[in-house]
Amino acid sequence: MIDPSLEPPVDPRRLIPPFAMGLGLIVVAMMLGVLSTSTGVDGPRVLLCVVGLVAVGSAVAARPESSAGWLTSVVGCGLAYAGIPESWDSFKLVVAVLAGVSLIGLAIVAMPERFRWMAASLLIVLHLGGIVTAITGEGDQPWLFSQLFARGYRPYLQFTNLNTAYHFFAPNPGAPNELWFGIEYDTPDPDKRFAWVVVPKRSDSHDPLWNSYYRRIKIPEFASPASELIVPLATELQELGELRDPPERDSNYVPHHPKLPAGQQLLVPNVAIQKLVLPSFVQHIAAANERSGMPIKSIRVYRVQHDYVMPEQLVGAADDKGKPTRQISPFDPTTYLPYYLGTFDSAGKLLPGPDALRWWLIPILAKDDAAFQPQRFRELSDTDYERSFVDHVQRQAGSAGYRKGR
Amino acid sequence: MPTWKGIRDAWSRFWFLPADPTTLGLMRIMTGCIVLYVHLAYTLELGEFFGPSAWMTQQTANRERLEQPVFVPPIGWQQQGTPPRLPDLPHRRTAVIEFLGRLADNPDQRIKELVFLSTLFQNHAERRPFFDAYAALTPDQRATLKQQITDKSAMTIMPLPDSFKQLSTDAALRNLHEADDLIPLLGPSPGAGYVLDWFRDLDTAERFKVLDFIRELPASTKERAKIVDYLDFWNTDPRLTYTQGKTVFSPWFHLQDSTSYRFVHAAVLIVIFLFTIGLWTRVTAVLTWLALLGYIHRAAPVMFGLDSVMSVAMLYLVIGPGGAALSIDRLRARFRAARALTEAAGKPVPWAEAVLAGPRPSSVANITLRLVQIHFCLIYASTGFTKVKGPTWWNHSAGWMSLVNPDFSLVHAQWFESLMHALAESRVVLALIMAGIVAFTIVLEVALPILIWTSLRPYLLIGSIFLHSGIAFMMGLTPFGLIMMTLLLAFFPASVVRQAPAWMIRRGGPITLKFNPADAGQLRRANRLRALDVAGMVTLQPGTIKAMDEVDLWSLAILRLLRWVPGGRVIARMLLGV
Repeated sequence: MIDPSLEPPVDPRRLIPPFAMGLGLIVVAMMLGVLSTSTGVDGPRVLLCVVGLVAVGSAVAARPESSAGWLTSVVGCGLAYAGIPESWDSFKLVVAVLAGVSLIGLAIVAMPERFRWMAASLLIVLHLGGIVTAITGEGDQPWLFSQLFARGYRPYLQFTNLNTAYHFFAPNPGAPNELWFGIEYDTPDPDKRFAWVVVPKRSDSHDPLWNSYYRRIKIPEFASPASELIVPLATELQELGELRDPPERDSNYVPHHPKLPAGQQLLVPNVAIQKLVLPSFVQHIAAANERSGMPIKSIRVYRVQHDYVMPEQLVGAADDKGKPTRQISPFDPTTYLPYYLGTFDSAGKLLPGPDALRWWLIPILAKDDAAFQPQRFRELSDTDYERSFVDHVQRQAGSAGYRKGR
Repeated sequence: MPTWKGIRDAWSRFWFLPADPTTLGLMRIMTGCIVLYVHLAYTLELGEFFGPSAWMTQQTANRERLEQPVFVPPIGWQQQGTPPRLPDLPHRRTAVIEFLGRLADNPDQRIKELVFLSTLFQNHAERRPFFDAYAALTPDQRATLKQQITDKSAMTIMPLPDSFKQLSTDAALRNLHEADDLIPLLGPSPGAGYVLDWFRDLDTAERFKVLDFIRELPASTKERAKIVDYLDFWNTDPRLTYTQGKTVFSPWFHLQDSTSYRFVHAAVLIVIFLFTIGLWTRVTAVLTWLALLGYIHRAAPVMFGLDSVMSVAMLYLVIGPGGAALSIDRLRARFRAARALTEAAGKPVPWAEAVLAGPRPSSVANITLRLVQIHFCLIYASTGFTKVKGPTWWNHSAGWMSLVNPDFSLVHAQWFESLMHALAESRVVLALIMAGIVAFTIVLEVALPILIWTSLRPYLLIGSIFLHSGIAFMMGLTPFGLIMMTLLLAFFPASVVRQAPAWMIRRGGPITLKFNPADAGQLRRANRLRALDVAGMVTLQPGTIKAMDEVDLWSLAILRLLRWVPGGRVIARMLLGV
């Protein structure tokens, strides 16, 4: 029974060309794979499959009530799965998902109206169950939801990017972080020997709504072991301490931060950061900062925790003896806590040999006579900066990272 | 007592009652604009975020995609397996990994070689120094030492520890043979010492776990190397994983050269634009969604809340008929209907009249809007209840931390820093303001998921718009605020959504136009005008005039809008001859 208030469906004969073209392109992609073993045809094969699938999808969308259309889509996806080369394996996943969606579409179109109600209800419940599973997925996940996630929902939620717990500024606003990369070039020219890259930096944003800046804020978080505090084995801890504080200290010795507890002065990055994140970041920095005729000698990396300034610091409230303290700007150098993560080559490998300060906090401290209004801080000249602060990063790296990189 | 039928009817009413898709149309336009903006912003940063040498290099991203371990707790009460603990310092870790690589193929042989290690740190502290000294001897010296033990002659090579002196000759020699088995496995100094340090630092249970791990390694050198490499990189035994890898995809996992990824990016921008204006929406929605996911999956280190919420909005616009209203698709349907009516020459064409009367309510539109509403509530509930667990929200410092956050807030502007300074001068004033910020945020986020279903909905919507506007302004997260407000649209009645554009379109006042049905050009233009007349402002009367009134046509709001579009006048001239 055709509802007269509905637009007449597209004539099925008009859909034959897009279906035929789509399937034809996909078959050509398959044949290319059979006839050529060269990886040079991989790109064209993917393109043919994508265009073919779009053509088939357009035809299905033109007449979604047709089970023949959905069936053709399933066949098209099956052929495309074979047509996509192995070097584009992640696209095989997309095609498999599209095939699954087509099968569901076929089933829904083929089933009687009253069963569609049940099928739709089931899909709704399953989908919302997945969202609840994702929301409970951070922190202490209940056993039930961990099972549901790992054994059931994980592929779906990962594919759709719905595996998020939506903990915006929760349970607490996270501490801001920066990454400082000190690049040393192999050149006799002392002015060109060092370059610093600070991430994030507002001036790196290219769009009026600062979107690319906000993206860069996430980069240091990736290298921050906030969720997993590593306690090294006893001998490792001893070695780290002995290297850090040798019995005989020369002028390059970097003191501990006088106000932070010992537990906050050494932060060991987890293995994922050591093995996955840092090498990748360093390779990127090396590639993005290539200079002709000046090979990169080394790249020092600092993960910098940028502490919040609390109201009493901002106004320079009196201490317990009634003496006013120094007013501190939110961007005061002492609010930056740089943890040295090591020195790498341009391939992202740690330079061999002991590195006494690796994973230790390298403090930036104010001298006793550093007294100026926080608002004035930004106007400080290099000379004033050096007169007011002891920047051990600058001393350790041989160049001023904090100021030069921004 | 609710009956099954009652529950079923309520469920059906909630989910399947046909709804006007106009809201989805507006959501499509807003989402499309945001997605288009975000992807336009990528244009200058393709290499930095998605290229082979991006922050997460292509090689690293692919390794993560294919190998990342996935764990699942056991179904029963048995304990979940944990991997052996390895050192964290790279040089020590390398020594242990090399030691594991030197193990014998035969598991029995492996155990035999490790007998001495398994007892090295038990009971007697002197065994380690003795072993270190013994391992430093030359093979000849070791043979001489054994001979002296056998002969019970004077120990000229090195003294034996006290624990050895209590042993029989056979037992002492057996210990030394076991030590001989271990020495080549440990490798050269200082790696050998690192392995022994590692084993000593482990507690008893961890040592047994290491020995079990070693015992259970496969005999095949290749398989063993694969497991050890995985352990080194991912810090876990691959055999303990439920599965490995992520179900993600992206062209950016595969594209190598800048020409190809610029071509793909350009194609993506075109598709998003078509989706935004609502052309071939069913297809372009799916393509936009897949493209969006492709960018997100590739560049995890630079993705944040905006991307999560964009994924949510796009998924639902793929499900729902986002192009059924406020779209080019809709205009095309109206053109088809107007043409059918004209061709029918006065005979009734019910479907065409229905199309021209407005978007057809649909169950799928309702399902989609309900899903958006519930998803929005879950987002609020999750973030609200998690904030309740945070100490900084309880002591109100979260408000301050948000305002002076050097990354996000306006504090980078000197005037705002001065304002914060002025506020901080009075502890009482500051405390009141912070209490207000925290209370407003938490109460809204916790209460909205429940009270939004009551008559308080308008107030909560206003509160939510206020919150997201505040976040957009104070923290600079404008696209995030806009996309959250886009989801919020799902709670607005379609009539409210329709009123805004209808008000704008109706400002021109009603128009009556005559046209000559015998003139093919006028007939075509009359059809097109009826299709464009989305607010029902034009009455067409067959007559005998020569041309349509140009001035009156330009008073139609939709044509006024076209004037602002580049090339709009040309389009209007092509469509209507004005």
